[in-house]
Amino acid sequence: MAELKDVVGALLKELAQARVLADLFSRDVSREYAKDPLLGAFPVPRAEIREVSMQLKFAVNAVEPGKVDPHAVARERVPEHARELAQEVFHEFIEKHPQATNLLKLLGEKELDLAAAMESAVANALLADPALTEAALRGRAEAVARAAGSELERVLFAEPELKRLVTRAQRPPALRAALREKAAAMAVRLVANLRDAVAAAEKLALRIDVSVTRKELAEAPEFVLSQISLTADIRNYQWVEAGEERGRPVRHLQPE
Amino acid sequence: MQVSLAEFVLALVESVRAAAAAEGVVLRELALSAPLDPGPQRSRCPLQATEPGSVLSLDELRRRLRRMDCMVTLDRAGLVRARRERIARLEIRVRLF
Repeated sequence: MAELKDVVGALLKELAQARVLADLFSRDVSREYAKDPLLGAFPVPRAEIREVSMQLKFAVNAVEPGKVDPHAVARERVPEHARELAQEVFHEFIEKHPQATNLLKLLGEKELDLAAAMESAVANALLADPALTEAALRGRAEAVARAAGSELERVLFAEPELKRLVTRAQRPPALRAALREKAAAMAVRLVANLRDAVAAAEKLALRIDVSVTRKELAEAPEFVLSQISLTADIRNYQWVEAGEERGRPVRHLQPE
Repeated sequence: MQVSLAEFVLALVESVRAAAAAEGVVLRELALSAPLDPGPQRSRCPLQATEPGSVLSLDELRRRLRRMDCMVTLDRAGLVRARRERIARLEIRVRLF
């Protein structure tokens, strides 16, 4: 018994490895060609697999609910909520502030990207503590709101001059309360979004256990056999130069 | 053991596509032929999701599957126990890329 996706993955991996072996063979052959005065004039043979067509027969043994990692779902969803919250706070408490010109000038002088700093502080705080994701999945938005609100305060009040200017329009307790309110609204949206996303992922996380070996299939009647046919492109990567570092070219792999 | 036909097909397509992507392979097309027992409520299972010879886009497949509201038996043991005349075959071809 094996999971269908593992069987398909293993077969496709074999194809990629076949191409590696073919490339290694071409490398060795090219050395032989280079040594020989006659072969040296011929092109070196090279096999290239660009398209694959595959049929796989299997029998379904069981279809069961699979496992979803809620923390992986949170890693996908939290950053966009943290970004929205940071942008909202930046717009409301900096750009719409009566001292907006001075605040923006100060941020420029300090080279501080305040929205980005709030975004990453909130996202990191929410993702660093697995208990927060679990609380969110139980519908407990308050814990998420508290963590996000205190990060917003920490970043906004970290720079004394920034704190002095920001709190000219609102006293610190009132500003803290306003930040907590924004964080609470974001937390409610995040909790709903996360729960929906995990529920949707669980529907797609069915575990399909199959039999694929000749022996297993020989024991199964023909009418219970399923088949998938796949047509696929093998993605090729090539080295590209991306500038220089300490006088040496920097290269990385890019899809063709 | 009965499962939702829509959830089974989508889970199969998504898991195979993810497995291929993990190996640097881009799936262009997937065809599935699977026997199933729709049970006594066969009329609720529009098994002709794809007309013979036609290929659906993934979005179109999702749209059609959303309209399906049927639980089916797909596992070997369940099919062997089922009444043979009730067993149907689901045929779907999906263009993924």
